[in-house]
Amino acid sequence: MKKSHFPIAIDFRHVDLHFGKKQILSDINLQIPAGQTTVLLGPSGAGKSTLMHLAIGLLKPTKGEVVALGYNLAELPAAELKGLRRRLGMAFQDGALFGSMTVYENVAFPLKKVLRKKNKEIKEQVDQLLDAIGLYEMRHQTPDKLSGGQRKRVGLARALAIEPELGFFDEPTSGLDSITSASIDALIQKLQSQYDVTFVVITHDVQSAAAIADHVAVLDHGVLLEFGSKSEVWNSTNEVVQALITRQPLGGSQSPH
Amino acid sequence: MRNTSSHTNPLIFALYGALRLLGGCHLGEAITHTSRIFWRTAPVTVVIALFSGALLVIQTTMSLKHLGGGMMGASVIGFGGVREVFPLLAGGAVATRTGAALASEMAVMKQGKQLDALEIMGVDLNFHLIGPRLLGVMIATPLCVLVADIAGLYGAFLAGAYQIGLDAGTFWNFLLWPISNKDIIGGIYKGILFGWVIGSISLHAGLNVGTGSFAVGEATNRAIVQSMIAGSLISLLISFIVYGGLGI
Repeated sequence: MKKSHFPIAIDFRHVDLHFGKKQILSDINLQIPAGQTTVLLGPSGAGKSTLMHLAIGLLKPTKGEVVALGYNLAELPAAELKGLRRRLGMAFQDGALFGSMTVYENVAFPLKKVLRKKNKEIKEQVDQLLDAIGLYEMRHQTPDKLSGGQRKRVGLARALAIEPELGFFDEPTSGLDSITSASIDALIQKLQSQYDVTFVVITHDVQSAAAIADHVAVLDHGVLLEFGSKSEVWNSTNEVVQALITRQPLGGSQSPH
Repeated sequence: MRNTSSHTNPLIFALYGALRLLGGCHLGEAITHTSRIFWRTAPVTVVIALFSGALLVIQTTMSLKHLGGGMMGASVIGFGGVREVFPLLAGGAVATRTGAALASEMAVMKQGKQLDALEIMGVDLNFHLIGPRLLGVMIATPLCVLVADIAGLYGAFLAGAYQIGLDAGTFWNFLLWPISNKDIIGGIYKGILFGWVIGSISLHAGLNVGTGSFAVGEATNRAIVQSMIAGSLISLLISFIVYGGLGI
């Protein structure tokens, strides 16, 4: 896979986002470094997924700019945005696999439809990816025959099939048991080191963030609370960040009784 | 989202869809969908049209028999069936079988983020997904109209000749004499129009689905109801324009 040429893969410059009168994101100023794994951490409704949608150009900020791989997305014509998206890969929370296709066809889909590769090339690449995610034996199964963790793995493989410069993973471990979560984390680490690509992972799973992150951005209620290396964020004095990391309720460790 | 689903008005969506079709769509996909839609809908169309043709001819023939013109019942079916009833029945069958399937398919894809996945991959949704389905319904519906014409007339013939006991040869002639090529071609045009409306309404309903499984049912229901109403209105409008005074 291709390493990004930019030291900063995504640059959010004072980004505000409103849906009607509701403020979703507030003055987000965040530079996601290239060639590393950045985790967007925060509770549900913090604005993590929205931030990712902005980075892909599925949403436009109300104020501020989003620059991805050197392109200001607001100024990018539709055709060029489409071209840019071919340099991005995204794995969705539940895989977003095409139900009528087999595992093999799902992973092959972007290679066939987007990159228009030849069948022989597609087969080599898909077999290699399925092998990497440990689902080669399941290649002829349809998604309804797979477990949640397996669907997420196939989603990861499909996202990485086009050899993206930027890979986005939306809650890759949500709803999974701890053993499966650990295997997904290990897979993300393995793929990151293998392909030297920029990964942005959205999660509210602190253990998972600790396992995979080079950098961590913590969001809450649409505000960026903290951004830095994993150790910097883990040593943050911010009360909300600490509550999130230590899984303690805010305002001290009150007993429920 | 920048995709077609952002058009919240079905009429704008329909016009936009038609314009996009002029720019082309994936023909292989369109052929696949045409075939799938036709074979999914044709059996239902046959059953509905066959029974309706039989029922209509029983009522018209029995009514006109009192006036001494039982055979004219066949001609009434020839006129009204091919011009109005059978195309409308075919449209109804397409709306319930295909419209519902299209709406729920799009709704599930939207809710399951499959449309987002395609868009992020840089796949043109209009070219690969929406266009071929819309074109598929627009081709399959007139074919279903032809199937409805044949089945409806045959149903009328069976009822007239074997249930009511009229002379089969004479009845068949009375059934067919009022039908001109113009009526059949008119039915095909009507079918294309029905297909465009049903396809647009159904795709629009699915693409604008809310959240939760309940919303999928709502979208499907909306697709069928709106398609049926729009189809009836279009049929009425065409009748007013073509037969209702302008005398074409």
